[in-house]
Amino acid sequence: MLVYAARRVLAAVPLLLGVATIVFVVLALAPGDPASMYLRPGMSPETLDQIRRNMGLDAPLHVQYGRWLLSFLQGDFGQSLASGIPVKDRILEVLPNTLLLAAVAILLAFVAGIFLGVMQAVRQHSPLDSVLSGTSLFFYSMPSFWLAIMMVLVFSVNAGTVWGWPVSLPPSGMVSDGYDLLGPMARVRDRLLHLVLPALTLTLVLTGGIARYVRNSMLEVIRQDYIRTARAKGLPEWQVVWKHALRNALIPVVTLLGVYFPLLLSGTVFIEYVFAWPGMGRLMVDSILLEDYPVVLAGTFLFGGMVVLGNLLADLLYGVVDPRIRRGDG
Amino acid sequence: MSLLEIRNLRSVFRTRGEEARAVDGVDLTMERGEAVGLVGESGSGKTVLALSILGLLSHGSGRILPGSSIRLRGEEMVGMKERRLRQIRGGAVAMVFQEPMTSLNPVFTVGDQVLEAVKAHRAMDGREGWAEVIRLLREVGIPEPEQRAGAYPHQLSGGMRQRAMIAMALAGSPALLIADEPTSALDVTVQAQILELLKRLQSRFHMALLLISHDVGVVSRVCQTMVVLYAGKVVEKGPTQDILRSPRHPYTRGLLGSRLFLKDRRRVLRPIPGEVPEANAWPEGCRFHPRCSEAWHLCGREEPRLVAMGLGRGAGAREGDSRVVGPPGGSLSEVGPTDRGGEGRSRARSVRCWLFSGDLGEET
Ligand SMILES: Nc1ncnc2c1ncn2[C@@H]1O[C@H](COP(=O)(O)OP(=O)(O)O)[C@@H](O)[C@H]1O
Ligand code: SF4
Ligand SMILES: [Mg+2]
Repeated sequence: MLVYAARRVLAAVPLLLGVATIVFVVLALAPGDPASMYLRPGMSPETLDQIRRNMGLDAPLHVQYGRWLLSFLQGDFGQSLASGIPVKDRILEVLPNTLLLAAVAILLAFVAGIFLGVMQAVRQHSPLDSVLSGTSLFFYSMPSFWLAIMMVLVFSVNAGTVWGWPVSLPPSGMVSDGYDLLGPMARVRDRLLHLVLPALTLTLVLTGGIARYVRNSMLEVIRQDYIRTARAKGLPEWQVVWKHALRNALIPVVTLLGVYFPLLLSGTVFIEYVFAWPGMGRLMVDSILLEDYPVVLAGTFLFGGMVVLGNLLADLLYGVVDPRIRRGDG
Repeated sequence: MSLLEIRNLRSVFRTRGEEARAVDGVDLTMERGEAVGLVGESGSGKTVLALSILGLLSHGSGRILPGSSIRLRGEEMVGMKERRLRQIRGGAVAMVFQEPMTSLNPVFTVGDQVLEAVKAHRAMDGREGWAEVIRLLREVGIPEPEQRAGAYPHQLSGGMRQRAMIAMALAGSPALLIADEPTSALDVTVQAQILELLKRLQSRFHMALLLISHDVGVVSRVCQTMVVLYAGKVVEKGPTQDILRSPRHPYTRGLLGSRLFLKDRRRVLRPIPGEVPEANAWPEGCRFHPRCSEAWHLCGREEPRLVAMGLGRGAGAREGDSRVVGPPGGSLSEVGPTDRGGEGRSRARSVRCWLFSGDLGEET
């Protein structure tokens, strides 16, 4: 297992370097001069050149790249052009918010997706199966920002009662105005309430795909000989399904985790925007609009890095769930 | 009361509106401690028959038709409650499958899988259970069972896997062990070892064994009684030695044809042409007739019945022995005088299985 893990981690390093390089190249080629941020009416071309020199923009590209990579590795992403504070601080400020949202959503989505997928597989071709398949497809193909807006409309703006229950969920931000005045329990409650809509939206986006995948994987597994063996030795059906079949069906689902990371990240960008969630997605969108070059670079690298890490995580989990891979002898 | 009494078992599959009668009216009786061999080519319904006994068809698209009866020590298993069936599966009746690789779950250790079977049928705590697992693995001849118990299936050889499957089957001390082609996926040398093992276990635990194989040789090494299945029907059954010496049904003779069991050199020694048809397209009349070298015009029209007959002939006949062979025949007299006399008579002489109808007497 250790050898396998070490190999996977080593394989991820050049990938991360590659991501860093691509990020740099793309942004170097992108239109828009970062120095123009400082352009003021009546500024002389000399002053502008001076600014560019100060920013290191006059050096040849490969030199810029070398410097940039070096400081990157030291965790120094430079300073935000818009706010003047270090990019690192800016990111550290919002990253936990995104991670919270993503973690909650992915957890809920996998739990719900696995449960629904198994139920569908066990009752293949039943009305339940068809209804769930249709619903999955609906949420899966719906643009996430549109879904987010719908959620706001249904649960916040037009909210009053849902099935007789008074429901109104906060549509934006992480906390209410006057949060500081609340007592400790009320603060927790306030944060949780604010988490509900964005997390639920993201969960809905992800669950359908996972359920579908789990369903198909289960259908494949349930016809295997070892399932028949499990029944033949007298195990109850729930053990046959939730232990023998699911453990095997989850093996390919783990790779899905890697595939879902990009989807999750792009999903958060839209959802954070609609729900005014102060996370990475929002920061990125704002920075792009402001042409805040260093923040965009660092953010893109982080996104790319997360995709690589997601795949790494999937690979490692793969080794955990499949003994044939773990031992490296199957 | 016999250990197992199967009467008129009919198991069908429904695929795309068509009905596949995979097992179609099988009668079979097994006594305690008896080893019965079930032979027939691939596709003749052996596996479906075995799964029917365990009530495992319902998890596919298959089902047992009403009117069928499977009694285990007198208890009716057709239509039995799932709870009771679960006690029997892996308990009184255990099964070993053909592919030891795919029949073991790849993500659990061999020991854990045997332990599950132990716990499903015996009240044992973890410690006792594990000791029992080691004992079972040792019983089936797995060396260093303490270590092997922690191995995953892919880390074991085919023979070892099949031994582990057998250990799992023994966990509930079965009165009947069904082994469905237990050696077909294994090397020849390993095959012999597994057969020896089954034979040893059968006599040691006085366990009834239903050994399923397409290979008559395999069955003849272990079983006193042999049942020949073709197209979902039993075509011949009786003491193994008698059938090997004087097979009565053309299909049995065909099965034996490629083997060297026949002392009687006059019999035709060649494999049966063609293949077993699909279960949703059995031929009319005798289901064997398109492939039968002895078929005549009646065969395509009428389905001969299985008849019981005494063993009045053939080497090794013992007093009181009886053989059941099929098909046919009660209907021969209805065919009319032209078929019995003249040309019909000479034709009939070559059609051996129609001659065993009893009323025509022994073959001349
Ligand atoms: N799950 C199934 N669905 C449809 N047909 C089946 C199924 N299982 C077996 N059959 C059919 O039943 C017949 C007998 O199959 P089987 O019992 O596996 O034969 P054997 O074990 O003697 O090789 C075959 O024609 C096969 O196609
Ligand atoms: S002789 Fe006729 S009835 Fe007998 S096995 Fe051949 S085809 Fe069937
Ligand atoms: Mg079979």
